[in-house]
Amino acid sequence: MRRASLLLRAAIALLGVLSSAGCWSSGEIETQSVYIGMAMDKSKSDETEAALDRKGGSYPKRDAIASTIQIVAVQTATGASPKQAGGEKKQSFRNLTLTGDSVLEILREASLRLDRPLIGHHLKVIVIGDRLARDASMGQLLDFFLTDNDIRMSSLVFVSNGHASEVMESGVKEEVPAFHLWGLAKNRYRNIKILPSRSLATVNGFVQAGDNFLLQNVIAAKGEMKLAGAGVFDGRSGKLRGFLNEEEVQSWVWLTGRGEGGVLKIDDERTRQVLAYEIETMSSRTKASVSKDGDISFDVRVESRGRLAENWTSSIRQSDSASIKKAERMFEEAVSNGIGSLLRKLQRDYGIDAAEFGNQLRIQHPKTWNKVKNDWNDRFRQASIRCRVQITIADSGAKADPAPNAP
Amino acid sequence: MIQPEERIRAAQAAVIVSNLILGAGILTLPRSALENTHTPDAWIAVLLAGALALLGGCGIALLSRRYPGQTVYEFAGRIVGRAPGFVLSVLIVAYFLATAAFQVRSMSEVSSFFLLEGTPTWVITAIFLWVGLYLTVGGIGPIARLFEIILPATVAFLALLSVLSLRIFEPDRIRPVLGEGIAPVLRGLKATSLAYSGSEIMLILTAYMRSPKQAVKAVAAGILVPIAIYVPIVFIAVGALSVEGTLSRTWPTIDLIRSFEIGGLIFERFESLLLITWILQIFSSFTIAYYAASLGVSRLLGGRSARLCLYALLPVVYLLIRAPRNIRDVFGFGDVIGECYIWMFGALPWALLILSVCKEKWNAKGQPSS
Amino acid sequence: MKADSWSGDFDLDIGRFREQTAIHSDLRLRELELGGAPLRAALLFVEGLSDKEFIDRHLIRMLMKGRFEPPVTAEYVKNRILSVGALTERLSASGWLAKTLSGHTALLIEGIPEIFLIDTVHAGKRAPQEPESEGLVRGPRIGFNESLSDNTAMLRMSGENESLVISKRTVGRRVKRELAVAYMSDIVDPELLREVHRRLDRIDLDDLPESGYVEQLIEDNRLSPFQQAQNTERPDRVVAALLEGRVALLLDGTPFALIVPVTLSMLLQSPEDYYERWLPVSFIRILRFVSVAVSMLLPSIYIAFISFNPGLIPTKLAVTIIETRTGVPFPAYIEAVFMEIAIEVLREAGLRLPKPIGPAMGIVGGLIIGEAAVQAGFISPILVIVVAATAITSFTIPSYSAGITFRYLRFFAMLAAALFGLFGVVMFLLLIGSHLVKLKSFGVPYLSPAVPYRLSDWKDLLVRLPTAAMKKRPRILNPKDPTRGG
Repeated sequence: MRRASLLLRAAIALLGVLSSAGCWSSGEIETQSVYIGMAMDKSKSDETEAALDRKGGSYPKRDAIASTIQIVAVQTATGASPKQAGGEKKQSFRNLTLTGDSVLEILREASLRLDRPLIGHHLKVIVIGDRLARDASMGQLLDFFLTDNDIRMSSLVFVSNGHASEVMESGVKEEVPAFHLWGLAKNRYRNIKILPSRSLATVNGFVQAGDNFLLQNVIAAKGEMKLAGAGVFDGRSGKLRGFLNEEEVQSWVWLTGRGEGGVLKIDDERTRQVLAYEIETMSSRTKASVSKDGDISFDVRVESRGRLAENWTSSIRQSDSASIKKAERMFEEAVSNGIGSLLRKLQRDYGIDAAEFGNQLRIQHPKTWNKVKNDWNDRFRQASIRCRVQITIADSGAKADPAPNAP
Repeated sequence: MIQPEERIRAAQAAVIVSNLILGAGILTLPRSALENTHTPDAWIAVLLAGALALLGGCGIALLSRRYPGQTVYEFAGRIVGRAPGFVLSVLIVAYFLATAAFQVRSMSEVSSFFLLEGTPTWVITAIFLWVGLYLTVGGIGPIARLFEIILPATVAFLALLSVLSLRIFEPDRIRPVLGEGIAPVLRGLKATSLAYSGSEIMLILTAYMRSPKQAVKAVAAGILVPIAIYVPIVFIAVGALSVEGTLSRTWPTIDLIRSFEIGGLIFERFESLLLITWILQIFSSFTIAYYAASLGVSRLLGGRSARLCLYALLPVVYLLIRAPRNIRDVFGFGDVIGECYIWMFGALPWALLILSVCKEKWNAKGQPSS
Repeated sequence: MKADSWSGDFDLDIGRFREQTAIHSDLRLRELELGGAPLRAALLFVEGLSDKEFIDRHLIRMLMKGRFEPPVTAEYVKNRILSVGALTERLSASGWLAKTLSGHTALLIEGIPEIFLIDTVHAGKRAPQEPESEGLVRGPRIGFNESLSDNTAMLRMSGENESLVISKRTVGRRVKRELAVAYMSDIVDPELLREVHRRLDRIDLDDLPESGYVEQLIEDNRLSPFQQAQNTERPDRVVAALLEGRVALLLDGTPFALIVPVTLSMLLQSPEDYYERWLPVSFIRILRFVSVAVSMLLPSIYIAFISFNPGLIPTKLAVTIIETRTGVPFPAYIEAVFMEIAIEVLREAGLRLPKPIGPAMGIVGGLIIGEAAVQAGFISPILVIVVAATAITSFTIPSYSAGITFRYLRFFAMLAAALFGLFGVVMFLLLIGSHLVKLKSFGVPYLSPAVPYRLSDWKDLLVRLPTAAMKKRPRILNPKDPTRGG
């Protein structure tokens, strides 16, 4: 009897909890707007917003940031039939551009225009326009993303030489630009002109430590996007200082030995014909040394193995080790020259150590580093850097190249 | 006094020690280890602190096994005298209560931040406490058995997560090793020691062991597991998030797991695994600490039923859980507990051990003459 | 004259016979005279239930054709006349009627103040068949039937074995039934045996029609959702359990034997696990554990991820879910509970229907209604997959009773998920875990040998090691003889 009444009371309590309070935190995924990409520009007027403003839909703000939010899987009026005739899924997305001063305020302002609240769990890419990046520091711009509980630290950060919002509008018809960009960053095993992924976690590390760093640059034109070089950020201020072009990024990857695969193309010295080297492995070791009077110098040794993947000339024959040696030397020279011009740009033009030499000094000479770290960029200008490249052509692929018949 | 079926085996004692140690610290340790070291060598501090914890744990085990079948609440009085022993017991009860409360509070903070935004924390806390109560009224046997399920799951999940995190690990970030000498490591020793609080449970557990002789072995095994979990976590977190990056995160271990996605595996994102593991660990830390506290209260009140105390203490623990007003207070609360741990269970057991041995010698000498 | 003793005066006694049996119209009274001696006798038996041929051939013929030499005493009848094995003498009048009504033949002879009860029970019974509830691909094709003597015989038939003890006792206050307690005398832990008998002694109910009654009356925790005795129709399973040191209870009238103590892992094992090769079996066992987890947790995880923690699923999956759930009017938990109830109803309906219609029902219900519901936009296609997966995985649980448990626990998991998302699911698991570690079956922890750790017993837990490696009996059962052989 007592037991029964206990059960009854428990059941009533449970029902009470269920009906009155219910599911405090519950919200079905389809009733929320999942944003997967965000572009931030220096304020730029958006037509829709301007029109809304004219009707009085505005609030006091300096319009520091224009933020384009990319929402995925927007519901269509027809309801549940996302399939097209061909059975191919059409991914729908919607861009929403809002201006304001604080990222969070902008996101919440969106609730005045969207019926479904925004959730940031699936934010994949953040693209920052160059004008904004030159004005505001990375730490400030990313502060909200690093504080919010929804946003993962795996979101990738890009810089755009131009309007970042254009990147969010480009891409092949049925593709969501943010996913496209996310996929591009994964192509590092095909091309060495892509930097290692810069996730929020990585960028946060740089910003907190005050390190200089590079961010992948993405540009958009004619409705398509392309990864093109990198933006150079000054660690002290956290602001964008300039850009490296594709060639320089390629050299940066060679210098740091971070490549996962890609191609090095040169013209043969003699015939001016194409020779292409496909990278299989790549590594680099930097030795930092400090002389007695405090001069800092670096010896970089880049090594790579790979194959001769394309050969238009007749002067280089795969079967002939002397000519292979010659090809290797030509590739080595090309890499050294590239690295040389990159270092010139970093040391002379920008005066920013964006190639992690300071890090090597910290590891190898911690005491010296502690002394110089406060004016490291200036010391870096004076540092002498020597670079040795060694390329080994290990095989020549499927093609056989018989040696000419010896007499 | 202790039913034979309630006796636990050495392996179970070890598992309980591990489960009590692994608690709220899993998510914050990389940051708290770095706060005083500021060098990538924090993991060495964690390792050394583990060694210190081993030392402290051995002291506790050696002391408790001198009094087989008795918990600290009983033998404390026999070593230092009735009144001081009573005071000591009250302190230990307070310590265990505070530990239990701190664990639950951390859990509710993290749960409402990452899992249940919007649900009132009192609901989260209440559910957690009820389930914990349900387990603890079963006594030490079921507690030990549940822990034996939880621990392998924890170790497996954390090992998996560590291996997965290696993909964003950069060796350069944890170099140089001892670049600034041993001094920063030593500075970090105290903060990291706090993460190893837990071996004090042996003061009570030894009484329940089938063979108290194995207490030292059990406590050593019980501390080695957390060392094997903590060191890789700190090592990888620093290597993936960098020293400054780790320092800037409230819950660095969650952020470590949230820093990568692995396409192709079903989950792609693994923080759910980490949070589940962590809640399980908090649950185990809470239940055993709470059980120890209730046991103490029942002994202090002259052997009232421990079950009754378990029910009666629940409101007290709830008030303690609600006491910190914000997350800074919570971490402060944790630091205070850690401080108490170092004083009460780092040094004191050795002192008591020496006292106890001396007393026995003295008694033995006195015996023949009388 | 005392009411419960026989007088020896035939007319008086036969009068009582008639008087007491008047309301039982299926009782037949056959009067006859003994051959050679001028003594009357009477046989009383139930038509149809008693073995008519046996009575004709052995009793009537013997009594009529025999040459009896007076004086005919009870001893004389017993020792010289009745050439039958199963004979009971009843001095008193009490109890004879019940026996007679259950198929014994009562024999009354003039001048003897006693009644003889001869076991002539010949109930219509089923030949042993392959058990339906526990189908195997490989293994003996024999199952228990409803006759206790047949069932105990089947245990005996498993091989020459003098330590197999079958001790019978009666249970039931009004309807008395025989219950056999079977064990291996040189293996079983005597303490366990005493405990079994202690609990059987406590049973006090007028009738126990099925072993399920016994199970529920002797279990440790009556509020637990988990069964604390295993039921089986398979003699091989019972024998295997006895050899591990367990005790089997066989009740007359049901083919389901009970095995105690039981552990959770036993419920997920099938006798076939030991007949097939160990590697595939180990793989299948792991699959079963996964299946249990899936069938219990998948819907709740679905609810948790859809309604509470959308950040914990892959982005592409989230996008797909959003697209497919667009237009579904119900929250995930309503949708999931609704469909899970529907599938349970379908399953129940399929069970009750005549055999040939059952599967058709499943197809109609499962495929057509599911597809229609998706088409109509009531539920999302992903949920259909989830529900189908839970249903299919729940079929892999070898024990039907355990399957029921896990199936309805699923609803509590869903409730927890609907209230607290992933946190609720974890709390549910902790609650179930806490319950399981507290639960004991006849003093044996329910989760053993998983916890407390018994490494030697782990050879037969998640995986099954080669038979040659399993030379030890489960230590948790505290067997007298711990080894199986060399």
